[in-house]
Formats: sequence, C-alpha cells, structure tokens
Amino acid sequence: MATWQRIKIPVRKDLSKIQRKAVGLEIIQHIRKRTSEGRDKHGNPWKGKAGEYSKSYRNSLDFKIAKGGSSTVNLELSSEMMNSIEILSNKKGELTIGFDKNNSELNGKVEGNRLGTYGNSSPIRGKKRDFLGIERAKLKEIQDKYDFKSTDRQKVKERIDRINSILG
Amino acid sequence: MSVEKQIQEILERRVNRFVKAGQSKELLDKVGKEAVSQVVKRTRLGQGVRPPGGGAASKLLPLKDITKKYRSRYSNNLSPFTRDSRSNLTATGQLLDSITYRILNGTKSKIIQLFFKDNRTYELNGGRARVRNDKLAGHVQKQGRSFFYLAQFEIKKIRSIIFDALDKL
Repeated sequence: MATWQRIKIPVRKDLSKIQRKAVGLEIIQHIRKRTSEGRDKHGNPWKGKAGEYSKSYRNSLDFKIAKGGSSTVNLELSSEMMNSIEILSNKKGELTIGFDKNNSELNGKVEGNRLGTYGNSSPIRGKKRDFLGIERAKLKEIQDKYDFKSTDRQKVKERIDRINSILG
Repeated sequence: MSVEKQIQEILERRVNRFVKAGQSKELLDKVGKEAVSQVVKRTRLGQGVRPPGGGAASKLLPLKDITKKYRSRYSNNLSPFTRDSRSNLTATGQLLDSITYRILNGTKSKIIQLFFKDNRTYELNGGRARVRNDKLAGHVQKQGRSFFYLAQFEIKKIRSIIFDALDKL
C-alpha cells in the first residue's frame, strides 16, 4: 500500500492565505516544467540509470504511443501524474502540496518514482526519480513575485488574480 | 459537455478577462493543438473519459472476442499503435488521426472546435470505407467507449499552458 505522497514547504509567515495559494500554484507550475525538462527536485538532470528509460519500456507500445522518438525522461506518459499535483493545505508559514490521498493508484505511481521501487518491494538502485520538491533559491524567487514589499503592489495583485483565476 | 464547451468554459471563465482569447491566435492554436494531442494520446493509451468530461480517465471497455478474432485476421493492416487485443479505438488508425481543430467566431469570443476530418478511405479488411469518422466516433461512444471529452488532468494541463503563454505575452 503506497503512502500518501506530499511535501511540506515552509513559506514566509507574512504572506496572506491568497498570497500563499498563488505561491503554491506557482511552485506546482515550476515542478511540472522542471520535470518536463528532465530535472529532479534539486534542479539537476536525472543521474545514471534514472536518466534513461529501460530498454523494455522503450520497446513498449505505450512508449511508442505517448513518446514517439523522444528519450527525455520527463515522467509523462499520459501526463496524468504531473498534472495531478495540488495544494493540500495552506496554513500560515507552511504549504503542503502533493496528491489526492484517496487515489491510491496515483500515490503508488508517485511513490514508485520517488523511491525508485516501481512496483517492487525495494528500490532499484539508481532508478529513483524524486521530482517533488522545490529548490531554495527558486522558492525565494517565487515568494518575491508575490511579496507586496519587494515588488510593485499593483503588479503583485494582478499576478495573484491571474494565477488564481487560471490555475486555482 | 463537449470538448468544445469544456475549452470555451476555460477561456470565458478564466482567461478572457486577462487577454481576449481572440486577440491571440497563437494562444488559441496552442490550446487547440494540446487538446487534440491529449485526446488522441490518452485514447491510444486505452483510456476514455465519461461524459460530461472533467472527471478521471478510465480504461476503455475491453474488446469482444469476435472483434479480437477479426482484428487478428487482418493484423497486417492494423495501425502500428495497437495490437489485436488492445482496446484503444485504433484499428487502421484513421479515426484518431482525423481529429483536428478549428477556430470559429462565437457570440462572446472565439471558439475552439475539435472535429473529425472526413478522410476515412478504407476499412481494416482492405475494403472501401463504409462509414465516416464522425459517425464512427458517435457509434463507439454509444457502445460505452466515450473518449471525446477532456479529463480533469487534461483541463489542468491546458490551463497550465495558457498561464505560461500569458506570462510570455
């Protein structure tokens, strides 16, 4: 049984609920984009075996359908996993992002990638692809975008409105 | 809700107040291409979406034995994106390959319409096509293999693409 896949992210205590929501949505957007480029939670390209798909997977019909000739490891087959990340809780000083607790199949898939187990009882060495996280510098950059003190107030308001309306 | 309505809802409720969708053909093209790509890819992977759309994707009904036998008999003509026993609405591949989009003028704003081009020329047994792609799509959906909708994660992906595109405008 897979565990519930989520991470807690400490955020500035002076951010309001709506600012934190915008920060959370932007973090999720960043995780999607970074993973689609084949990079892990630290922003580094996948290393070793994790940086390539197995031969059997590359030869599978699903791979042919979804990825054509592309070999970038971006954890996207149908793209369901990467587009199912959500804000799970939004508290003062802390955001939790991750996956729906009740979707055990999805949590299993995510756990398989993050630990490198892929359905096995123990991890396959070098196959771990942990994508759920945020680089410290990126977190600061994102929070600055939504900080009334460090950026033009009107611009911040507009960006909050836009991100909440489109992605929220 | 049709794919067209699902996309229209995203544009009218979430996007138009930031940029009139009609002002950016580039944006509409991106959304249209992505919607087509998602429907085709997900269906070929064997997943459908129940009407009215917006929910989770789920496995398409398995093929009947008689259909598997028929497909196996003509397996040389099967699309490279399927197998004899695979339920993914792909035999010759013409149905899903025919899905495309066009941008229409709506009353409030532009509309992105997904449709089936009428380019069906042959059947799996090599004979001349007896049914148009749009009729075939309606038929398979009536049989319980609904696929011409966007799943929740596909809507999220489209919204995410729109947000990125607006960021660059």
